[in-house]
Amino acid sequence: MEPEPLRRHFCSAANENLTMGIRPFVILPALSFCLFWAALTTGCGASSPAGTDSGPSSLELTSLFSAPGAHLKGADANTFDPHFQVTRRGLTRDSMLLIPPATARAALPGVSGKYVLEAWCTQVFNTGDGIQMNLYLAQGGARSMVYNRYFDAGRRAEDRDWILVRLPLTLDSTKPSVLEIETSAGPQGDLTGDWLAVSSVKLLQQKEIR
Amino acid sequence: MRPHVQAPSLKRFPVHRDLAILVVVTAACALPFLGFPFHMDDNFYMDMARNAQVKPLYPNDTPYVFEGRSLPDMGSHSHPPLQTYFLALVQRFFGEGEGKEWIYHTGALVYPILALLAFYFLAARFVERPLWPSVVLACSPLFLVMQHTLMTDLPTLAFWLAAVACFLWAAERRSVSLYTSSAFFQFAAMFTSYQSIALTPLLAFYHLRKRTGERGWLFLLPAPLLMASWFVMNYLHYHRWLLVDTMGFVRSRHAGTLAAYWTKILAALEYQGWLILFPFFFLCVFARGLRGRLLAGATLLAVYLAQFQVPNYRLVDKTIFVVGLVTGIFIASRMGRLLLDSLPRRENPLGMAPEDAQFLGLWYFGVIAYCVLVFTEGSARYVLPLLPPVLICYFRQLEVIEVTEYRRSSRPILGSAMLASGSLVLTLAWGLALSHADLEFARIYPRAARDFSRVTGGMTSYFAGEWGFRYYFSRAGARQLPTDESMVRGGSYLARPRLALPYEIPADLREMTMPVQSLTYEPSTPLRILDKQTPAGFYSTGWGLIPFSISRGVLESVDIRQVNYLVEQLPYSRVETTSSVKPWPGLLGLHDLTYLSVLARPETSLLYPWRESDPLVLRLFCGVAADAYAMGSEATFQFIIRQRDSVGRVLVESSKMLKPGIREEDRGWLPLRLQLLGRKQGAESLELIYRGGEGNGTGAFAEAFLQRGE
Repeated sequence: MEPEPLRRHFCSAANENLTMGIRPFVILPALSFCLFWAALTTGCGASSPAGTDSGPSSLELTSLFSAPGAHLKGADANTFDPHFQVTRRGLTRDSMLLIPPATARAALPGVSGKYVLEAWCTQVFNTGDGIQMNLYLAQGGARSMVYNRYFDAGRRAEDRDWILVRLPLTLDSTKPSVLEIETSAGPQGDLTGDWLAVSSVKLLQQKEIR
Repeated sequence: MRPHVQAPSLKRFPVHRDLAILVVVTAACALPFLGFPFHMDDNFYMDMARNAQVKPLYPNDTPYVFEGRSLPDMGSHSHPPLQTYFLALVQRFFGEGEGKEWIYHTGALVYPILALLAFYFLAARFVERPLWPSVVLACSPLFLVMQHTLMTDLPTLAFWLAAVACFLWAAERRSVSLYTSSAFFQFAAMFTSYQSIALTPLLAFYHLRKRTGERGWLFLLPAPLLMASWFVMNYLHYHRWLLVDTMGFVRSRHAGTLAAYWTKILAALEYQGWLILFPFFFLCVFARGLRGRLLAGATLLAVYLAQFQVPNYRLVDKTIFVVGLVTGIFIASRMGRLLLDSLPRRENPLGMAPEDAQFLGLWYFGVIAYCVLVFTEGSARYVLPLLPPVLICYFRQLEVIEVTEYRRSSRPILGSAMLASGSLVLTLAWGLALSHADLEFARIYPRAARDFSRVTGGMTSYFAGEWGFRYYFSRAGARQLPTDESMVRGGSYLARPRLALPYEIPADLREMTMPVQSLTYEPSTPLRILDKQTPAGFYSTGWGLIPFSISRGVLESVDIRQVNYLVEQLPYSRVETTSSVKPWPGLLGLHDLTYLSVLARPETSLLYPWRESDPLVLRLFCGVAADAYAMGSEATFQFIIRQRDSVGRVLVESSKMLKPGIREEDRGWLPLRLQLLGRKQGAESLELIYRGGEGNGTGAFAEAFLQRGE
């Protein structure tokens, strides 16, 4: 056992040092909690899912479409819904919904050059005798069909999926351009399940296509 | 007047007696419910527990589909995995299977027992008779109902109470072992529920106010540091901070809007009002101000609020809402007064030391704060941690009333003793009633799974819901509906509940299904704690603002559908037809009955590959479109279904000849049935043939059901 005075001195000095040492170095619980919370909340902003970078040379067109004369939303024939969630093969896309004979139109921005029009399309149901989709480009008064496809998810397994539609377009900014998506029923005229979803319509500069 | 508290010593018989009473009460309340089916989120923890046996360090690291949404892992789930480890331990030694629920619930009794024992010692710091609030906690409806699940709420409360009790007595006695125990329980609480991080500032506040030396600070550090280390460990594994996605989920639920805050505040008041004690007793003890005028005023306010907030509720639901809200308001105001009365130069009528009152007040309002500000919605189980301070306040007030009564010349009708024993008895009865209602709710799903199995006969089946529905249906052999719905083949059965978080079936699959049967379930008790038809929202304010309701209606229904084999498999069939139009799937209506059909023109043959290995029965309807014949016409339409083997030999066949032009009964749907052989019996293909007519008349093979042979 150490001599009393030395022990007392040592203990008191140690206590004093400990006391002085603890305060600056032992963080108060409240402060530790705040630091912990700050670390978590800072971390919350540290990472965010990578967004889709469509790049400066791609133009998103989906929101430009409208269908004058068609019902807005609903399940009747000749209906257009600008935002409809459609799931195919587990992938859900926010889509334009067209129920024949609806036709959607979009005025294209004033751009010139060679572009590629890209869109994801699908028939919503696996029933019915199919839907005919025709794409028209009207430039400077001249209207021409640039693409057509028959979606037949009832009879074709490959149509039970999102279909990537891709076609080249040459645009002239001096002429007003309108893109039309025209839908019509199948040859039997059976309107069952004739719902067409069109999503992520984009114009991509041809040099950017990989 | 300070309470005459005594440190309960484990060497004294009265303490042993009290603890034994608590254990017996817990066991007695649990006994009728030991066979409680797995319920609500129990299934999720059981799934993670199975994964914990494969990946013990990262039990939530498994792809998971919840509510139809696919996630690469559940690392960012709202709870850390301590409860998962507990369940994994039970699974490891006892397995899973029919009738084994009692093993899990018996093992989980450790939590309510720990909670009550800890609360006894905690209450001993504040009241003279700690047995009363402890027994009442054991009988509290919220405690009883949550005790019967395997979710994290009761374990969190148990560890929370143990941590607080150990810390408070450690500060009193300067005991290192108690401090160490507290640190252990703090970590256990945080490793069970993230919100238990609130323990650190709560205990820090207590330590600061009590000025019980520097040592206590050291024992507040290990738990948060260990949690931080755990987060770092998980960051290195998952390459992300786990709480980032958790916060993202919270934000996606728009839990930070004013409307959401208001809903959560109302819910917190409602849950307290009905689920701690039978409300009458809170009103008797807490609502005595101004000779009942305060109660009348609060009731009037609640009635106006009910008309504003829930105008569409039935009268009985509005009454429940008003009573719950009034009681909750008085509880909250009493706890607020407790805090106010602890301020300097104010008299504390409960006789508590200011720091003790502030501690209880901070505990209570801290829990309210995170329930309102952090959680995505209101739920009764979220307010479980505030039961202890409320019960302490209630029983302390009863003790003060008792002293006041003693000094009076005459005893009131409802004395403190009657209030205490009455609150115990009625609260127990109320708690058992709600527990029974929850039991009836939980029992639906094992029954529904058995009923579903009888319908499917072992054929491929899928379920599209959560909770106990998911657990029991998967145990019955059904598979979870895949996120890629194209993997669901024709002939498969699909079960979708109405209440148990049903998945949205993608439109393409949904339109190919046919209704088979709808199973409905009505519990014998009219009490509902969760219901789509009434605003009972015990488990979530998504269903309603009141913790229970009254109804005699159907509580749950399960919709069973079958994917039409002929429609789903149509792209894979071989078609031979003289018509330019190939068969297509669609709807045909005859005599007011519209069926999902394969429609074909005359002289059409469809050859489907047959993949079923066992015998089945095919039942369908055949019919001819009205425009295919003229009245009085002798035209004959033939529908043939047959099976062929690998060399094309016909194994079984059934056919129907229709003359709708002259026979009225042939103008509607006519049944056709065929006992099909399996691949084991040599069947390779299923052929449908449609012949006849004089033109392009459409014929239909409709509502083709496949089922196990009779």
